[in-house]
Amino acid sequence: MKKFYIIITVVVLLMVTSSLSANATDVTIIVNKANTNTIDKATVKKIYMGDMTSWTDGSAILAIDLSEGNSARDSFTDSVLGKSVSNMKALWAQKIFSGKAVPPKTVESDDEVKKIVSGNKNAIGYIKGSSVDDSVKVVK
Amino acid sequence: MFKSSRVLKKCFGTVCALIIAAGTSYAVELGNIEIHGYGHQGFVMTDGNIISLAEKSGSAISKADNQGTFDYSNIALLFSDRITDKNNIWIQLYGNSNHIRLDWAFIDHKFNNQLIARVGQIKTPTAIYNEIRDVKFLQLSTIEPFMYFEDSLVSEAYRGIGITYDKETPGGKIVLDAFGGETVNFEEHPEKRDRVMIGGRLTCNTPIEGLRIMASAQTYNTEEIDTGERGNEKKYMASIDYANHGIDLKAEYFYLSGFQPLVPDLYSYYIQAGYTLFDRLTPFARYDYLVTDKNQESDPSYYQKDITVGIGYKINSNIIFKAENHFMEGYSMPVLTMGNDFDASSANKNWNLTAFSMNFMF
Repeated sequence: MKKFYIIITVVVLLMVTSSLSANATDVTIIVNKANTNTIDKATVKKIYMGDMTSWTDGSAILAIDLSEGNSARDSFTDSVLGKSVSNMKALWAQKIFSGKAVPPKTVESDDEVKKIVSGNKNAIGYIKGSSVDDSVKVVK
Repeated sequence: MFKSSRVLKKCFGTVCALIIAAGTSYAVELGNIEIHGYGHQGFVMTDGNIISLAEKSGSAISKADNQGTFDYSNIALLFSDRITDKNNIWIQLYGNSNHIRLDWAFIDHKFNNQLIARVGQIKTPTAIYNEIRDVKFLQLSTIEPFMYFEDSLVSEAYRGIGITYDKETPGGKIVLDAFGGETVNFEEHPEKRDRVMIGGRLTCNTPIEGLRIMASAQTYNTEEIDTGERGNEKKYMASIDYANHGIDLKAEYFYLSGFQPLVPDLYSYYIQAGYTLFDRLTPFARYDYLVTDKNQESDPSYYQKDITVGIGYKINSNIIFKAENHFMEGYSMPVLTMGNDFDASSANKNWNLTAFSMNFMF
């Protein structure tokens, strides 16, 4: 019976730890070099929660997300949005099926994020800190 | 809405299945058009009373009894396209056991980050669940609370114009939804016809992360079909919703001031709680109460209590399995939805409803 409880405890602990994030990935928020808007963490949160869809000049914001399972997305969602990825997915689903907003465009890699952001002055995205180069502007 | 052949429904379902099987975790893109969807397949049985489940369409009513039925399913496809920087077009097609219909279709115009207008056929911005009442994936249970079960209670949609305005205040973000137009009844009501409706919802997203409070109200003209007599009905709803850190707590109250004597005053309320473990397992419970005639509250034909216990299991980010049991007392809901088709004289006052469902979303 004691062995049974030990096994159950180990299984539960494994389930708990598997649902927790691994080491946090350093993420950097980037925009097009021609973007002159004042952007802080609160602004980024509003954009990625669907509460802000236009820059101050009225042009539509193109927000870029990384795909599910990407460690940078996990870190960004946790540190900037303050939520889990599954929580954000549920929140976005409510907005989509209420006809209120569509989620950010999803791409697979940091290179794709940089390509879109550098080619569109209204785009904003996030990548691993180590992927930053001079094709984009870093939001401080 | 229109009657669909089995072939059409199978095609509709096959499209959704292929999209899910492709492993897409979010939207499917067709050029500039984004496609999202949801659906569920359920099995529902009771231990005595025969009740209706799906929307009526002509004479087709899905019923659950002690043999159980798989005739409890829906599928929807949502198409959205950004046509200009300030305008989007949205179209949702919806199908269930009986038909495929246009669920909603509208164009929106964003004046700025705070103000947006919509024109077309739109889900009524009311209470917590109305806009997503058919998206079972986003709800704790397979069977929705009483106030959402029938569109004669919380009105499902309208054809007209609506606006949404939000403002940050020290007390939190306030969102005002206001609308006006013609009531859209997806379910047939042979006794009355609802006409022009105006209403709104005030939401306060409080400074406490995940906590919001809502107040909703609608008023509309209605007409008794047999006599042509016209009157007015009013609906009021109060809602509180907390969702954070795996906790999901909701409580709502609904009151209908009915078109007397055809529709008596009625009310309903529920409170439900769920908690997600390991991002996969969500046990939940709900207490739900419905009174369809305030003057006959002690008659089981006019009240119904429901204690629900259930569990949801997230198979992956797109699919959730749910199982639940509803311990019922009274049968006012089948009396309301089925009328003379429900035999109240031989109905069981205490009965159970058991439901299982597979729910998906992309």
